[in-house]
Amino acid sequence: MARYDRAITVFSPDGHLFQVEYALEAVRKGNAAVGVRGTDTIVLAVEKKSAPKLQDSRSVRKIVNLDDHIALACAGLKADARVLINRARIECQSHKLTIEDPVTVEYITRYIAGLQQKYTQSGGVRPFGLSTLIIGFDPHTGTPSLYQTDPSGTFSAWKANATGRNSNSIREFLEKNYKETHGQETLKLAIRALLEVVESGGKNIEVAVMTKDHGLRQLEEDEIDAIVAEIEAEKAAAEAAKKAPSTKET
Amino acid sequence: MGASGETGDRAQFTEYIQKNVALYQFRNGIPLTTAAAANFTRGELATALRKNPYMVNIILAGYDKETGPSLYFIDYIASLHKVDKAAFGYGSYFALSMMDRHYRHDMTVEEAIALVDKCIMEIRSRLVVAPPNFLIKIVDKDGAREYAWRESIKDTPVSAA
Repeated sequence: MARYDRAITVFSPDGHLFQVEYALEAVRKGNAAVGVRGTDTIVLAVEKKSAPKLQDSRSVRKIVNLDDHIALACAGLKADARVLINRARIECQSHKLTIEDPVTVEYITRYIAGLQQKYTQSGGVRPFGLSTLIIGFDPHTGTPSLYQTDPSGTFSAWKANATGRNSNSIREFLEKNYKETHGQETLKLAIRALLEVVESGGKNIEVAVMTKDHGLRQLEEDEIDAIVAEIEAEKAAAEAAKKAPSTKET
Repeated sequence: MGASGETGDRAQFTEYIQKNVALYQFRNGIPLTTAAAANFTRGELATALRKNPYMVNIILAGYDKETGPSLYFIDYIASLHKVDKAAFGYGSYFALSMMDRHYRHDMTVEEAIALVDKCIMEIRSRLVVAPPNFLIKIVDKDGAREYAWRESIKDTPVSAA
């Protein structure tokens, strides 16, 4: 098996592209990222590992704008992310220049996924070690979308998804608790999902909300703290409600 | 950015500058300053000059929080000047004279519009090939916006068959 993972252009005898699978491993080691699509709001929340004391945290933005109406969060190799994001930003403007129209979310997702796929089929290059969550509103119909791409270059649309560390547990939580939400409820659902695997507190999470009229808005630490407090209070109330009936029965 | 000159070059070049200015903002998180945008524009014109020059004259206006409003004159052979007043075309001979007479650096917006109207009147009366309609735009801390039209020939609505 070891002979089939040197150059990635080689298939293994049982049909695997090992470099791509190893790239997915790199993603699984990256920080957790969650995306939730509501009816009028889309939320991205990313785990923020504790920053070294001397680091200026403002220079490490994990949720970025690709265009006025499209944003991206990713899990995996951050240096690869910078390159991919730069190419996507150029494509967004280039599309506006030649087609006189902003990109749709699907178009730019397809472009990014296509780029990731190209690097799985060339000699001497390795795949991008990241999965992306791309959110945005269609520039004409205004419908919200959430897409995910991965190192193999596949992409699909989601109502809610997670990638990176412990993404399976987050996805399980979302499958159990997802329902059509809007506004603040979408925001709370995304943060609750991320808190399943991340230590609670505003300094461990980066959250951004996108709406059709106001574009992407990054939440301040104290805003996140307030919502986290709300969620914890709701959880405590739910726990108490569960315990209370049993004591009444005895 | 107000531009005049060869129609195709004008559209092509100004849209190219627009999209590159937008790209800079997404890449760097802050918008280009007016001076930087003007120098970038001038640089692109200069690079193309000795191969396939763009026949476009540009007046670039911008507002920066730190330095306030600024106006740049960029002509088709890539000269760049920071100015208080500018004009291009045959009408410029009349407009510039008007502005020389009436411009003051501490004018209010209303006085500036009045001066623009004076220039338009001169162009209408003196120029044989004067354009019939004018659009006035204002650039300030709230961005760029259309202020008013000065129309001599209105679009006639197409009557139903």
